[in-house]
Amino acid sequence: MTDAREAPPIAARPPLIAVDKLVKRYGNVFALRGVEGVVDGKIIGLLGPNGSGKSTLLKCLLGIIPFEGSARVLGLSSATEGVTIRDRVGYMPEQEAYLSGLNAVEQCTYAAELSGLPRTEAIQRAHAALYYAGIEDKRYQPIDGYSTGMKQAVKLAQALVHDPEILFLDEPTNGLDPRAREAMLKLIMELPERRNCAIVLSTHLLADVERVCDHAMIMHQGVLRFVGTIDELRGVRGEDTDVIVEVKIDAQKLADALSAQAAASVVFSPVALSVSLPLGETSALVFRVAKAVGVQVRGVTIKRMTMEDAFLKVIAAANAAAAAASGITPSEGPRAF
Amino acid sequence: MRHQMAQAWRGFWRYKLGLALTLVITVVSAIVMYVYQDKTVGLMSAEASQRLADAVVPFATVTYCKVALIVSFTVSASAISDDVASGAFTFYFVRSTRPFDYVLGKLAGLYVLVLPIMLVGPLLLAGLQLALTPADRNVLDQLGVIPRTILIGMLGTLVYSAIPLGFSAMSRSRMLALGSWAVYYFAIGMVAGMLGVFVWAPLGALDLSTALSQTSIHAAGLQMGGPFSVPMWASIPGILVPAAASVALAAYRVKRAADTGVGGVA
Repeated sequence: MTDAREAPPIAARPPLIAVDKLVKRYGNVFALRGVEGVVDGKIIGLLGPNGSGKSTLLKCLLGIIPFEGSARVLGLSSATEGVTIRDRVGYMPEQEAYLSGLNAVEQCTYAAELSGLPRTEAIQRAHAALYYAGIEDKRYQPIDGYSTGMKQAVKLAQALVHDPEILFLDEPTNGLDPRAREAMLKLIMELPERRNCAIVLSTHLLADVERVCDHAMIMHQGVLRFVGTIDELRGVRGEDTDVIVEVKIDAQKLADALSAQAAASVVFSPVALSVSLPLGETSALVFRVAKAVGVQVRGVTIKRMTMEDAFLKVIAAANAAAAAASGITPSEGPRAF
Repeated sequence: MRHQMAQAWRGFWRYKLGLALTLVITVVSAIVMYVYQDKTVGLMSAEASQRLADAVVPFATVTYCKVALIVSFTVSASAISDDVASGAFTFYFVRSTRPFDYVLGKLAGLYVLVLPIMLVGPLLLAGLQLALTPADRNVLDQLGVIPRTILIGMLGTLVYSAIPLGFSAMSRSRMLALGSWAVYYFAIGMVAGMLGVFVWAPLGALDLSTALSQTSIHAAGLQMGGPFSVPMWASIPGILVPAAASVALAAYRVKRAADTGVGGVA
């Protein structure tokens, strides 16, 4: 498991995931309603509340369940090349996926063999994957007796035992205590470097995404509402209008002066205030006003949106667009996690 | 297949009990055969004594069937429903396993598990029968017992592996799968047996145990007589047709389950 795969040149590589008008319905219930987007990145967070269609999207991408529209993973069609995709992609499902009666080594070996590896290589990889997942010492014990954290680790080992190019992790920190969760997130963060694979991390935990992901996809009510980097999601593109200003003294004086320039300020202490700049202005306004009133500025920090704020903003925008399209005022705001 | 065998090997009551009973039946039958062959000389005619010894294998096969039936309830009839409940179903189908491969693997696993009961025991007895053949009888004539035993063993293995496998795919509930197999084997079998006795003998082949025991008896050249003698042209299809239908049903159900969602999405 230490032999890192050589990455193909960026130009020659198809996008990790490309979906177009992807629809999945169960009877009259739509699980996915025309998902569209092209996704790339190292660790991509697939965010959304429970029931938003995250797991269904992953299963469609893997070609496990039939769907309408188009979905491609690594340039392969999920509709017609599902078996090949599943050989090249590792999937850690949300629900239990164990073979009762086998120990972790047998199970991972079996998983590798089912993915097409010869038995000798499968055994070697199983040991390496289990070592990597941190259950080296208990790998010969039956999985039925494992703790939740160890079971999650075995699922991760099974997903990466065949050396996949992408890993789909569906709620990998579910049911884990803080220590096990920390260990799992650390493993996930190290994977792209050590295994040279991309990761799609499906979760409803914003903190997990903020911690480990560089890109994000936001699903809401079966629609992909956002695809981009975490920084884009949180609005850090030089157009930020909220800043925290630290001054030497007399923050109130600066706040009053900024108010005259249509900037809303909240003073935290004599040396710090939060400023919401008027539209079209930048942090240069703060410096200009401070100079004018004789207040010494010691620092200006762009106030980034929290992940939760960013998520709610995306959902609210989607709801507003939907309401405008239907001519109805949205009565229900987005639900927080 | 590997998973099926590992699962069956856990604990005593699932599968090891069946193997133990097979051993007991084999030893007892061997003793009976030896006694008939060697120790009844003088008590009855040599021909009668020989005929009784020749009947040991087919009648032991009927007893092996009872053991295989127990194993079908503890292992075979819940093979797929247990996988759905335990998450093993998800394990298989998030990989490049195809539904038909999965069913074939399950069938192979169950076949290998039932085979020692339905084939190894009878084959040992058939070998003993050959070894005990008196010098005045033509050994070449007696050799026919080996292919006959293999045929019956393989058909019997099919009955207690393939058919319950089909029932195990009918429901996500283990109890429902076991219940439907029990109803089919006992209730429908009993009705078919009565139809065979009172209406038309070939209808008795719809009862799996009758089909198997009648095939075994006919293959051994034994004459049962009476109204309840199902001909081989009915008894062999009476095994093969339900077995093929069960595998087809299992493949269909598994394909459908895999298509509609692995792990309870649907």
